[in-house]
Amino acid sequence: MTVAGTDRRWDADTAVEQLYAAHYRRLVRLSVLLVRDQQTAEEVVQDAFVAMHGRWRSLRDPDKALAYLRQSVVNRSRSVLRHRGVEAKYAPALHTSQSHDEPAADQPVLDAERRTHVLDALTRLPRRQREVLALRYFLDLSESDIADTLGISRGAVKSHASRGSSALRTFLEDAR
Amino acid sequence: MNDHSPKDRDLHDLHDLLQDAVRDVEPRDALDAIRSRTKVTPMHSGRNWLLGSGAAVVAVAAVIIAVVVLGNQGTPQADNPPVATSPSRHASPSTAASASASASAEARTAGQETTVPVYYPGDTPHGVRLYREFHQVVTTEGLSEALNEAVGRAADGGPSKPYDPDYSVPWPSGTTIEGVDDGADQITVNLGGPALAQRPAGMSDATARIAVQQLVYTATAAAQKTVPVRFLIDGNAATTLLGVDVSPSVERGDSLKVLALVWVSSPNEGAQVTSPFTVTGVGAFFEANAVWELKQGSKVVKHGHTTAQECCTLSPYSFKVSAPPGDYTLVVHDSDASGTGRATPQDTKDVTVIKP
Repeated sequence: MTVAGTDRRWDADTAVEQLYAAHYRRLVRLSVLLVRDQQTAEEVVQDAFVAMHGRWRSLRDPDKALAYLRQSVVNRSRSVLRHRGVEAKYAPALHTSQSHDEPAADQPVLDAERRTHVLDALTRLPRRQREVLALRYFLDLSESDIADTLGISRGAVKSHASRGSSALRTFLEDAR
Repeated sequence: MNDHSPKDRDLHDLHDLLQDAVRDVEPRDALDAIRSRTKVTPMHSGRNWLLGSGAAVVAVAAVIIAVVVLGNQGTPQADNPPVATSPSRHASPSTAASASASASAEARTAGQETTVPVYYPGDTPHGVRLYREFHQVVTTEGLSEALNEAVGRAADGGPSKPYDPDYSVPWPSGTTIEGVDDGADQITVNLGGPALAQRPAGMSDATARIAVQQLVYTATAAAQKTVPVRFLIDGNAATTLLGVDVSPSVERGDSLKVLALVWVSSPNEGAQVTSPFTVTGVGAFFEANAVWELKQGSKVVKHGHTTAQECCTLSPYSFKVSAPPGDYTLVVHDSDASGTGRATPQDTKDVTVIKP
């Protein structure tokens, strides 16, 4: 056990505030890529922050805390999917973009369609592939950070990434 | 995106596609919601004691009552989570109501948390023995999640470790709980993973036996009934597990031979507490005399002793400690340590005393 100096060290509340300000939106977006549904994603990330607060004393360090948050968001997203069950997985999920009550200009509609296609295609990927793609191409994590986050080898990260990207491409082409 | 796209173009596309796919996701502000859940949550998940003024008194009283009740049942290892004394969050009334119910009693919606007992091996002077922690998991199925934690997988599939670094997960990496059947007369646990029938190289027979008991204790604790546990490996009845005979089923072993003889139940490892704080646990102490020390490094800042309810069997104890704010290691051990220099059963917890 260490009796470290307390100066310059964040307490758990400060850690939550700082990391929330810097990363909340990005983590919610990460979770949306994994669970498709924004409200679920927000709950997942809030749970992760609460858990991080509880673990702050063993984390102590903002980088470690962020790594913990990432891991927690991925794991909790996975858990939500598992409990939501297969039938809900392919049901029309709450759309992540604002609802368009009024006719929108063409470009926003096209944007929304493209986004829907990508999110739908992601839900069709095996879980690990989806996670690896999201961590790699959305969060821009390195292979070794992805391996740490998911608790798998770097070799597995590579193979999930390569299979996932080719499967995603196929799904997206099918959808056209 | 054509197949003949150059690879870097491809990567570039994927990056843009995923960034773009969630560009319009603007979450509502949730800082207040998070704060309200982390603020004053006595024994929230047992990990984090932030005892507010009034709440502290109530919570401490509740813990003592809980311990006394356990003691009266003669089952100091009774596995009611400490969270029973207070709702861990205010999100919904059902959370509070279900916190004290059997961990597997009712389905909960995804995203809700529940507290489950999880046993972990740790070294003691009597060899490897089991300690218990309470883990908060997001789950609809407390029993299988408790077992998943026990084999080193978080409730949600990621890696999981005991909070206390003195404890360990004995199961080979990659071990999973594939399914659990919570039957009236027995609990069936279906395990998946690499070569679980055989004892892995480097694992002692004693550790293997304790690992099997770890799952039996965790399963029966989470299900809140003392029934035999039947093991399957990949869906087939297991005759051996880690080289230990488990056919046809395994019951809880003698607690004095399987469990560590001194536990600190609360505060948990890494807890933040305000002074004075109450320490509770169970132990089988010589002459029922539990000795404790509060240390900073090797320096003993405070020490004392207390009497457990009964001698020589696992029996509840509790005492109060006052200390100025700071980081400490709390040690509770059996009494005949003094003088002989002989190792005695003990449990240690790192705690931080914070300003009220």
